[in-house]
Amino acid sequence: MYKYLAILNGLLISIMVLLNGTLAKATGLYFSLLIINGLCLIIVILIIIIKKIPIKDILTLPKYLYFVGILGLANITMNNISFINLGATLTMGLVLYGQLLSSIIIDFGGFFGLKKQPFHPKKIIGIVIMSLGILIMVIY
Amino acid sequence: MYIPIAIFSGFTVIISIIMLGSINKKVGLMPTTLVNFGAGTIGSILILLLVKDFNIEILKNVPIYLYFGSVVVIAITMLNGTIINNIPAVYTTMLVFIGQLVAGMLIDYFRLNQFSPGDLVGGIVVLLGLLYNSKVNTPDLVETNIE
Repeated sequence: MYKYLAILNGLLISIMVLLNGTLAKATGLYFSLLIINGLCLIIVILIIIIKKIPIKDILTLPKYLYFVGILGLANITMNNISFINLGATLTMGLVLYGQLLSSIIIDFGGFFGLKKQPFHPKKIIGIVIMSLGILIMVIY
Repeated sequence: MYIPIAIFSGFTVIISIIMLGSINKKVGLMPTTLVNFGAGTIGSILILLLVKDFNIEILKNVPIYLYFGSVVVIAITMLNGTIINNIPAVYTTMLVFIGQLVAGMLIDYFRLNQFSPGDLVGGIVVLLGLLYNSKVNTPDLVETNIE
């Protein structure tokens, strides 16, 4: 059952990129950021009120963690630019590729307070295969 | 030019996942989502004040369904919270990517009226690479944290 939910999640991510990208095209990149974030904020506030979820703890968070929202803005903007110019499938492939590269770098360097992971040389083979896949998507 | 932008978008996804993960541990899923979009909303207001590039009138001409992107964003967030503890993350990454590929190709087909065999073949090759690396047994971020 969870397997199907994971596939459903993937379908939804593509649909999200379609809807948000099309919105950005209609309203302009920056204005669409406010619309998307503002609507999400309203929905979350409604859920929190309905389910009576306590939120006082968020005031105790280290301040730098609030910047995650800014990262979200960068992410939506880049997704929208990419979707408008490259299409949905290639955007999804490239974003996944970026995720893999960055997690390897972060693991290897032990950044963000995470434990350093030794780099397994065999993983280079998988990375080469994935790079080949991305190349095929870009060229054809 | 657009290719590095999309790849860099993947970088922001991973750093977000790490930060949201550490907020989640402290306060739970919905307050985390509140922080994320609260800060995002404040940030986007600041950006708009800076660039002064918006026109409220435009909203009248935007088809209603485009606003549902935000509903989808919240649905994805809640689904993530359900899935992440119930199947190994490496399978989650692959299954999510399969869903992304299928929907992505359908979207491109209907939007641009073209089917790209390269996207299908390339996507499958990417999946094979993911599968291969999942067999190499080092726990890394992708295997423990992604979506």
